[in-house]
Amino acid sequence: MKKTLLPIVIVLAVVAVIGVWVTNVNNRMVTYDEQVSKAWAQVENVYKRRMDLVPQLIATVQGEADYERSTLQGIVNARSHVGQTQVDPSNLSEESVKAYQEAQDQLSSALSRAINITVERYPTLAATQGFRDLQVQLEGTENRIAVERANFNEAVNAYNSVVRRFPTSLIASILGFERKGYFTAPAGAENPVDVKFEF
Amino acid sequence: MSAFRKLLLLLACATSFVHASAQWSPEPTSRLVNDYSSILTQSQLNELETRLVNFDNETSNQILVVITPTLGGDEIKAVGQRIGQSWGVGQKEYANGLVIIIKSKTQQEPYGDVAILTGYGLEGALPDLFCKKIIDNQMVPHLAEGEYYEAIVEALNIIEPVAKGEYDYAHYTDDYDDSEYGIFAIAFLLFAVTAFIIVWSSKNRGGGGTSSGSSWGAYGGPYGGWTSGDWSSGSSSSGGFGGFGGFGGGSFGGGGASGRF
Repeated sequence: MKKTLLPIVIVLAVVAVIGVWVTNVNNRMVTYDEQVSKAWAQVENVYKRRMDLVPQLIATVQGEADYERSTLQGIVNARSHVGQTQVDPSNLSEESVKAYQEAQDQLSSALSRAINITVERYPTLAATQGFRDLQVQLEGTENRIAVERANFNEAVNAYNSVVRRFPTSLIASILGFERKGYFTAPAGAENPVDVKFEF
Repeated sequence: MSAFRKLLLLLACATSFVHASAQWSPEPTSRLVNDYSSILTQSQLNELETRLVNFDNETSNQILVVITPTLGGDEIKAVGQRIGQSWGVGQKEYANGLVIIIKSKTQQEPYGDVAILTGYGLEGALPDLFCKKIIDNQMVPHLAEGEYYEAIVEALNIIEPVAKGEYDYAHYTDDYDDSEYGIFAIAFLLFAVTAFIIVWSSKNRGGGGTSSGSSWGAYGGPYGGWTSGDWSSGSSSSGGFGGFGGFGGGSFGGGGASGRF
């Protein structure tokens, strides 16, 4: 009697321990996953904030009669590209985050180009209160974007480390948790705000 | 291909890590006024600290003042945001913290930078544009003259009522914008004062000009010690420096503005 019971108890104990461990890992990943979603919502928030400033910028520079057409066109194109690149928050794969970032970065450089050209070539426009206010708002938005992107990367890092590292990676793949994409900093990573609005 | 990309990613991570560790970020202190440039006099430090501690006790809004000779080669707003976030300025649930950071002029860098960073919870009351105006109107004119204390006090005179909800941007623009109007107002005021003084002095000669300027400039010296605490009569609610209950874990999203002087 005793001899047959002992292995069963051991097996049950092992199963119970594994069960507790799996639940534990699962809960942790759900928590991390939620944090990533939250961070992503913030990222979208600040990018949207910037999108809302774009029409204002276009209207402001359009007031200048001979404003360089290619610069203006660059903003318009980049904006429509961003509009087309929507990401499903439940699928933040490396590819989708990369595509999103590329579209947003394109708008970044189009905007910073417009600002720089205005300051260099259209001094009267650059000196108006409206343009300077816009600069301040854009600058603040770029700053927020940098912060939220870093926060998002941090959240993804915590999540991915569970998904990728053995032995939790086993459970992650069984339960269908996939690794998520990061924002990668382009060359000159230490200063994500390449838009310098000093005046 | 995919292996190559992985390598690239790894490299990017590694370099960003190196950058992260090179960032200048001072250790949290238990004070709301931190002058690493040793510009403020002891009595000015005490005055500001008491004011901010009282404001914290009264409203739970935490305002951190940092004066530093270096930014470690980083952008001032990034440094300010990092300090606000990592020190946890403001209450966690309201994110009602604010950082005023000033990079003082040094021999290597003959210009200074100033920034106001708002916690998430204060972004509504103090939008970037408002911060920028406060910097341009209240701070830079004083900072350019080396008057750090006055710059901070003037900024606080605006920020505190705004944070309390007693004052807002609309009123501010009425009071301070636009610069041309401001200059005219100052010019008119100067004219009026000069005229008044001329009239006055011509009326009663021999009375002796009582100049009331630069009262505190000569004031800072005697109050060297910590114990001499010159926080004047009114502020009895807090027990000096012990009154500051510590940072509340507030968070910062990069809102705010900066300027150069």
